[in-house]
Amino acid sequence: MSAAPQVTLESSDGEKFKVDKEVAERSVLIKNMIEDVGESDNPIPLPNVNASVLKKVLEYCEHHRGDPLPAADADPSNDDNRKRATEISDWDQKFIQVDQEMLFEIILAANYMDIKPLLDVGCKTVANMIKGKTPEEIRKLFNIVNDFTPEEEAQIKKENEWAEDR
Amino acid sequence: MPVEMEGSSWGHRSATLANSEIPGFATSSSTINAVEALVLWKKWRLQKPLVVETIPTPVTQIKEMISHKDLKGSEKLPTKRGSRRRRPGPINLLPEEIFITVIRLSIDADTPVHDLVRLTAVCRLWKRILEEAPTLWTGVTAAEGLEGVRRALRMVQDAPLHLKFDNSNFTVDLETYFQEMRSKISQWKTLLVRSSDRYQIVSPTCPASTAPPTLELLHLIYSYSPAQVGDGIELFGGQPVPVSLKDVWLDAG
Repeated sequence: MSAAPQVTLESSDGEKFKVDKEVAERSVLIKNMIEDVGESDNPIPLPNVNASVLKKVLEYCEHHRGDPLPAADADPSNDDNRKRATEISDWDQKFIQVDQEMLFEIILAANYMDIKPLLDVGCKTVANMIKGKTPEEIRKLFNIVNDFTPEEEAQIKKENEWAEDR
Repeated sequence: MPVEMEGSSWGHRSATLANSEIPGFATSSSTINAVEALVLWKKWRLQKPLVVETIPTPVTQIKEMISHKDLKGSEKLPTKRGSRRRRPGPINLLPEEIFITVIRLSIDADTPVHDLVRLTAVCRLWKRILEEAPTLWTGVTAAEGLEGVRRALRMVQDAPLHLKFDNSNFTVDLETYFQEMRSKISQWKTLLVRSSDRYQIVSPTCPASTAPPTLELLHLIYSYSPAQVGDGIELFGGQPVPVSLKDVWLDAG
């Protein structure tokens, strides 16, 4: 059996990763680059992704190498889609159990590299973190500064009073 | 504003400033010269964490750069060397479209407006993004109450609407709900009604003047009694069905 074709990716900090082309092509960005440039031995530079994040992203791509390509965009405002929306498979859930910084780095990398299923997993994970929390709990969780003036806060409270009693 | 201090054995210090506001800089001209301030400002505009190397600056002076009213609650300047690094969570650095996707996934399908309103109270950035994203507010259910329905209608602008009246979960009655929603009838995209009342099933599709011209999906869940089996229901008041209508589901729920 002949070896599967491979490509080399280079992270922002210069680390090189040799992976099967099939794995790398989970990234639409890389797939398009290979199509545009043709196969070459030169490493493909990913100047927005550092080695630790790229390693993690490639772990995801490796696990999902055989998956069918994602379907066309489902309408996210549709009720049924929304109900299904925050389900994450077991493997993905374990995969995404990382610290917050890495979680957001993975999201940004998935966005940049155009790996929609990975972007979805990241977004769902953050969405699940937000669900059911009060503004104060959210600020604490994400280390967000409450930058409203006391007057603005009072105004918001007044405007939102009707929504509080749930 | 989170500011972290790192001291070295040389007595040289740097301040790491990150993220979404810069009030300290406006008053800091006495401690940072104009060029440094410009660099700071530019870096801040790029929304990247930045490290400012300064001439050895006493901690007290840096403290003064940040007015005390900017520091809230647990947010205190770590002054001891080696104190735990505390950086703002990067959620506010996400591209807006991704942030909106995250929010869309986090809101409850039955009461999205309640959730959105709650989230606008987190900080200014969240408030601005959410209020400028009409497509987040388009799921308008009768479980939101009259205030919720009205708030959503103020936010949606021209975005297509998804209506839902479920008579097992509503806080605004059918007449009032549809009276409010009719002000945007040209934007109805999906309409779901669940009821055991024949009138409630039929009436939303019977507008006073015109049928919803861009309705694509009509889903009626009608739990009728055995006695009513065989009774037909007439939709759209006998008027022509909107040409936009792609799907009609009728369930006995």
